Amino acid sequence: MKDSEFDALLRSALLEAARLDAEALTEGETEAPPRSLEYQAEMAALLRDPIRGGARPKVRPGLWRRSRLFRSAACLALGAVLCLGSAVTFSPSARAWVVHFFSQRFEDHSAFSFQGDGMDGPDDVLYRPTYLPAGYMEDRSQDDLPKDMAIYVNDQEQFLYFSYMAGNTAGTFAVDNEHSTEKLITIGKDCQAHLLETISPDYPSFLIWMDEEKGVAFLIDGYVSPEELIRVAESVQAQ
Amino acid sequence: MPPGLTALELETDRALLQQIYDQYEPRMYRVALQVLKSSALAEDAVHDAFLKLIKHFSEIRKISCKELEPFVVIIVKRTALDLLKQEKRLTSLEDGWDPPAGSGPETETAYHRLVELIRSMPDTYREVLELRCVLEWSNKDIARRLSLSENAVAVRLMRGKALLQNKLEQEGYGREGFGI
Repeated sequence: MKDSEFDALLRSALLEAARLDAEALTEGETEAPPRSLEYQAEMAALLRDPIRGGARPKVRPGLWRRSRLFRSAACLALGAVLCLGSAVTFSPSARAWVVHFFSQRFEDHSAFSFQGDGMDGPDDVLYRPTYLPAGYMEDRSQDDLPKDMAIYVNDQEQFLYFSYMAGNTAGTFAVDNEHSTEKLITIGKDCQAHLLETISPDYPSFLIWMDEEKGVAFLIDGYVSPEELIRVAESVQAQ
Repeated sequence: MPPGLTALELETDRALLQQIYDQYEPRMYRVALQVLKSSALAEDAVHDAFLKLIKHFSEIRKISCKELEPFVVIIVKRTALDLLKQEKRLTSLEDGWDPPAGSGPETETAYHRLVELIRSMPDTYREVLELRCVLEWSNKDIARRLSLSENAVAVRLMRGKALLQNKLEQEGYGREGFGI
């Protein structure tokens, strides 16, 4: 038997072992124990919206102790909120930004949450980038305002993903942060944006920002350079 | 997070995710609960496991229906064990191995013996074998996940396979006994 044949057999045997282990672990149990309402709500959100509903702020006391890394990340997120809090005193527009858009960094993803309740921004405006990197064409779009997305693909089947949340809605952009470096940059005239620049060719870079005037949170990600992402972001216009 | 998540915009993918939840969430939760002994942590483990499934959804689509359940079980079990490690309730893993005796090649197929050996082998080796052979992670990703060097991962993989192969050969199961 060749090594590759043994590897294939080993894969099958590992799966069978896992199945038997699970059977043994759950033997005799007829009904699953009840889940918390919080968990049920979170899973429902995740299933309803796998892209934006995946973020799950883990701030319950037991989880707070979970890891030093998480505590550090949570402290950083809190630090960012506190820093922004001081800006609120002086800037009404910053107040809106703080209330309606905030980020949290977790161990394996960053969550950018948008809360549109009470915002004045219209919820029936379609936004699209007017610039696309060479070779990209629109593949499909959701057109489900006020949450909307469009996917662009090039001939190498690399995607460029554009999404936004606007108006009186709420949601979270949950993005991978294990394969990127994250920094704050300024795009357009004076708009702060989170750039997660990939460090692996297998993962895209992300750009997330909120346009305070329009009351819209945007996300663009793709396998293009940060400069291209920024150029796409700065081209976004109402249609 | 994409490409898996982006792919989930497809309605068929969403349907498959819902199907996985409907069919396997109860077992995933029970497995996590058995490992963690805490309902709150078990819920976290299942939620995190679903995030991982979503993240690697392009691989999920390739998996046959028969393999899907053990695949998700492996993901949730590994997630639960990671939580245990973070809680420092899993301080060390057994390196010694004393597998239960088999009934021999006359009455047991080599494949079934292999499955039994895997179930009893030290988790140190089983973990890297599952991550590499089932979840198809690169050695680099495994190394990062387990805080090991890539070289250490490669050594564990090699030793894990050798442990199984040597044991099978010692018990009289030749490689040809698998009938491949």
